[in-house]
Amino acid sequence: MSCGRVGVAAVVAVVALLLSGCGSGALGTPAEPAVADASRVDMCTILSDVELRGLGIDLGSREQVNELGVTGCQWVGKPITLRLERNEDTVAEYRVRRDDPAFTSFRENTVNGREGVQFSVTRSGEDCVQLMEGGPVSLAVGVAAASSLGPPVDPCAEAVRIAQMIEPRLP
Amino acid sequence: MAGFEQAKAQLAGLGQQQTDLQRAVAAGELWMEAGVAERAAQRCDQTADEINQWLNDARRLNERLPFGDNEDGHAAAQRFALAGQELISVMMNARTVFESMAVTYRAAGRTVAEADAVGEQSFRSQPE
Repeated sequence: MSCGRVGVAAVVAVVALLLSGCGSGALGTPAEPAVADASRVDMCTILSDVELRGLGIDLGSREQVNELGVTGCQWVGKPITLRLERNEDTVAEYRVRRDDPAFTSFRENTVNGREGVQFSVTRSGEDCVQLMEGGPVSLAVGVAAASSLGPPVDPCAEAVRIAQMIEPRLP
Repeated sequence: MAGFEQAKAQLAGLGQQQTDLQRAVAAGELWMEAGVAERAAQRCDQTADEINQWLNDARRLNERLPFGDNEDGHAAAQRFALAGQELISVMMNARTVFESMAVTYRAAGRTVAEADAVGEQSFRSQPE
């Protein structure tokens, strides 16, 4: 009797151990942590005025954007123009569209470990959007060269740099 | 596409006029009072900024073409994507023309300022 109870208890313990092992990823690939919901993040104020000025942005040029599921702000400056947006399409939804003719380049990457994608919509490659995972939404940093005559700008490098500034402030 | 071709032709004409102005300034045939030149240059800068904001809108629209996930939708997306890229390219060229005009106006203003400085220098160095 007691042996039977011990046997059942042992089986339950082993099963529980195996289940907990699977859940924590101890026995295999670790489960991906869910990204917190960033649907309330205000991209217009996520960078301070000092930070925006440091990027060469003209604060007076700010325009609010609220169309096609995109909410945020855009500015012009020297040497770049900047778009900071919250997008109702997720990074996963963008990944599905990677062969969309709208994109002239598209690649997957991460920003401070957060999953993202990076793409361009111009043939000249003078623009770049860095998208980051935000749960049911995505967060976008769009950078483009503000001038054709000034020193060359690497818009993707700049978009990643700005996304790295923003990422620690996301939930 | 006919509209784009017409816009490109007009832009090419504007670009040529800008090049002619640039040559005239370099040859010393065109000059402007410095304040006037700077105001004209600032107006060109402002137009280039307006085009940049327009480009921000255009890029956002181009990355979110709202068509169905079927054969017709894909064909429409393809056509609109190419048209959008073409339009963005035309507008970037327009921005370049305005940027070049600003540079030319400033050069025209400098020509007068430099001529004034040389004149003043030579006047001062005249023996009394």
